[in-house]
Amino acid sequence: MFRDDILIKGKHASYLKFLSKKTEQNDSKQNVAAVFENNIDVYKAAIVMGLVKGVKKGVDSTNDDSTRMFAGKVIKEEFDLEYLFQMCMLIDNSTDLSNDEKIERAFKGKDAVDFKENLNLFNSYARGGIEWLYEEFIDGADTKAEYLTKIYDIVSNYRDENC
Amino acid sequence: MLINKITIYNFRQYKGRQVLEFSTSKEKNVTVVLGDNTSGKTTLIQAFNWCLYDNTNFKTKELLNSEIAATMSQLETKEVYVEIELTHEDKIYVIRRKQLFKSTISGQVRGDVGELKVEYKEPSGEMQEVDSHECKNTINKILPVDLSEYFFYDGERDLNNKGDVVSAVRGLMGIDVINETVDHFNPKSHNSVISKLNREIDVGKDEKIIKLRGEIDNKKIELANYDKRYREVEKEIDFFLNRKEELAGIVLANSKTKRKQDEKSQLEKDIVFLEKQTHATETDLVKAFSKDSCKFFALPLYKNIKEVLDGAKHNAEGIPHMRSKSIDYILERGKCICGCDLTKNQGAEEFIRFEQSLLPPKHIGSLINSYKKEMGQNERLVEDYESNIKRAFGRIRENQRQLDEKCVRISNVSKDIIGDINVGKFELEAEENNGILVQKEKLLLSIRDKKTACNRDIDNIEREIDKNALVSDKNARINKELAYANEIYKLFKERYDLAESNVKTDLYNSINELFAKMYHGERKVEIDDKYRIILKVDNGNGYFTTDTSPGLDTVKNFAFICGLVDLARRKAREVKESTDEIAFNTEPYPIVMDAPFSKADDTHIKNISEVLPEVAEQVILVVMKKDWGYAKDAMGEKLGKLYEINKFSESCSTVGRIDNV
Repeated sequence: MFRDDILIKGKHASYLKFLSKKTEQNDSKQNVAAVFENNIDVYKAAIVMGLVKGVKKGVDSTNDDSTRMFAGKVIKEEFDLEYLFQMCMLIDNSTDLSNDEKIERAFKGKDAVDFKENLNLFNSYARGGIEWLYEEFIDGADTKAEYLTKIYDIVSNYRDENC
Repeated sequence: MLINKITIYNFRQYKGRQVLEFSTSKEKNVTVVLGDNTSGKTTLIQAFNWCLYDNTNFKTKELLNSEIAATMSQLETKEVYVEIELTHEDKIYVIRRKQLFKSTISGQVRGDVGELKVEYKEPSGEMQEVDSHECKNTINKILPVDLSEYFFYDGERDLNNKGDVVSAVRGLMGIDVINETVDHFNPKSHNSVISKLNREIDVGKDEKIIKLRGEIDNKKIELANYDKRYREVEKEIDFFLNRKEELAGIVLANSKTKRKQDEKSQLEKDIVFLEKQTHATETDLVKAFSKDSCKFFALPLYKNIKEVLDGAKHNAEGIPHMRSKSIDYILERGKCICGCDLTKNQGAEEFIRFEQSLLPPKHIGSLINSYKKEMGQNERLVEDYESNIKRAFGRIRENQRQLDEKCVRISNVSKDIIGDINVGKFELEAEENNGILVQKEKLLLSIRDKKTACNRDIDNIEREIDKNALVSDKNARINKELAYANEIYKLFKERYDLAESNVKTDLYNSINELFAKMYHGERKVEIDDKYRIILKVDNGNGYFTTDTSPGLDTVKNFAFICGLVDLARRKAREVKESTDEIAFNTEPYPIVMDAPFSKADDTHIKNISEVLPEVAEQVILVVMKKDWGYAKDAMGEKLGKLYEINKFSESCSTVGRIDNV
C-alpha cells in the first residue's frame, strides 16, 4: 500500500522540516526544533496526533515549500504506515460509517471501494497532526533546550491530557 | 809474471832433484829444453800444472818415480814435490806442492792427499807464508787456472776452438774483472746489486704513508670541528640550565596563581566534556522520543479501536474448507445446497455474502485478530516510553546544571587570576626547556664519544705512520744506494764496452799482424764475436773461408796465443802509464810450450820462432832437437838458457844445462 514517494506541500512541508533533525543535518544554519530523527517519524507521529486531536487539514498552498519522503524510506516503514492507516480508518467518524464499514475500509486497503478518498482522509489527519505538533513545539519555545523541554512536557502530560 | 825456476823431485821419470832456472832477461828471454820422444818433455809441462793446480793428465796416476817406489822397504816414506819460483807484480813467490808416498806392509805404495805451500818474499827479504786456505786463491790471482792451458801450451792441441775462448780472452785482457763488476750491478740480472736493492724497496709503504698523512690531516680537522661543537653545546647547556632555574623560580613564586590556573584549565576541560555530553544526551532524547512516538501517542485511541473491532460482525470464523468460488456458484444458480430457492428467501443472499466474506482471500476476521494482537504489543512496547524520555531529559538537566556550575566557577576563577602571569606558559616552557636540555646532554656525550674515537684513530694512524716511516727511511737509503749503483753500473758498462771493443780490434790487428809474419801463404784471419779465428783466402773475387790443416792450425794457434800475450803485455804497459780511475788487471805472461813445432813446416817454425820472443816476455820451449834445429836460427839470439833431458831408462830421466848456448 505504501510503496511510493510521499509528498508534503505548503506550510505542512515547512512545519515537518522544522520538526525533523534531517533539516538540521542537511543545513546546520537552520534554526529548527529537530525533535524527530527523520521526516517519516514526524509523518507517523502526526497521523496519530491528528486522530487524537481530531484535526484534519487540507493540502496547503500558502507557500511553495514541499518535502518528499522517497519510496525507499517509505517501503521500510510500510508495516507501521499500514498499521496507522488501519487505525485511522477505524477511528475516523467523519463519514458516519458503521463499525463494520470502518473495518471494511481499514482492512480491505487498496481493495476498498473508496480507497483514494480513504488515503486523502489519512493524509488530512497527517497534515492536521503536523500542524498541531508544530504549534505545540513553537508555543513558548525558541531554543534547543526549550524544544527539548517541550518533548519532556508533552510526554509527561500526555496521558493526563489525552487518556 | 815471469817464471824464475822450477825444482822437480822424484816426479814421474825425473828421479832425484832436478832444477831448471829460466832466463828472465829482456834481451834473452828464451829458455829451451831439448828432449827426445818419451824423454819427459810433456812431464815437465805437467809438473807446472800439478804444482800450480793439482792437475795432471797422465794415464797412470802415480807421481812417485817408479824406480824409487820399487826400492821402498815396508812402511818407508818418500816424497815427491815440485817447486816453482816466479815473479809477479814485482814480488817473488815460491809455490811448492808436495805429496808423501808410503809403502804398506804388503808392499803397495800409496800417496797422501798432498800439501800446497805458497810463500812470498817481503821487501825485507824474509819469506812470508800464505795461509793454507788462501794458497789456491793466491795462485789463481797470479795465473788463473782458466788461462793456464794458453801458457802451458801443448802444441798438438787446437786451443782456439776449445772451451770458452771469450772468457779466456777477457781474463787475459783484464776486462773480466770489469765484466764481473758490470754483471754484479747489471739491473737485468736477478742477483745483481741493483736488482736486490730494487727488491728491497717497499714502494707501497711510501704511498701508504702519504695516504696515512692525508687521513690524519682529515681526522685532525674532524677533531677540531668536534672540539668546536663540544664547546658550543657546553655553552648551550649552560644557557638551558640557567633558564631551567629561572623558570622553576617563576613557577614557584606563582604557585597560588598556578593552582587557580590549573583549576581554570580543568574547568575548561570539564566544560568541553559536558558540552559534548549534552549533545549526546540531547541526541538520545530525540532518538527515544522519535522512535515509538506514534505508538505512544496512539494510546488514547486503543480503547475506541477495540470497541469498533469488538462490535464488528467480521469477528466470526469462516466455514472450514469452504471456498469463495463455491459461494459464487451457489448464488449464481439461485438454489441452496438444502434445495431452497434463494431468490425467494429474503435476506438469504446477504447472509451467504457475509459467510463468503469470512472465507479466503477476503478473510477480514484474521486481519482483525492480528491487528488486536499488534495493538497489545504496541501498548506494552510504550510502557517504558515515558520513563525513558524522563531519564534522558533528566540527564540533560543534570548535565546542564553541572555545566552552569562550571561556567559560574570558571568565571569567578578567571576574575581572580586576571592580570596574573600565565604560569602554565612558563611551566610549558620549563618542560620544553628540560626536553632540550636532555637532548643537548645526549648530544654532548655523543660528541665526546666521537672525539675519543677520533683521538684513538689519530693515535693509531700515527703509530702506523711511525711503523711505515722506518720503512720509508730505509727506502730513501736504498734509493740513494741505487743511484750510486746505477752510476757505477753505467760507468763500468761504458768502460767495459769500450774496452771489449778495443780488445777485439787490438786482438784482431795483433793476430793478423802476427799471422802474416808467421804464415807464408795468402790467407788472412778474422775474429768472430766468440774470439774464434776464421781463416780466409782471397780468390780474386773477395775473401772466403777455407779448409784448414794441422800445420795451418799450429800457425793459427801460435798467432792466437802470441796475439793474446802481445796484447796483454801492451795492455800492461798502458796500465802502468795510465791515470784512468778504472784499473785493468793485466800482467805480462810467459809462454811455456811443449812440442810446439811438431806439426809445422820448417818455414813456419822459422817464422814462429822469430815472432815468439818478440811477443812474449818469457818463452820456455820444450822441443825435440830436430825442431830446435829449424828454430835456432831465428831464435838463437834470444836464447838465454838451454837444457837437455837425459833419458837413462823409461823410468829415469834427468835435466841438465848445456853451458854452450
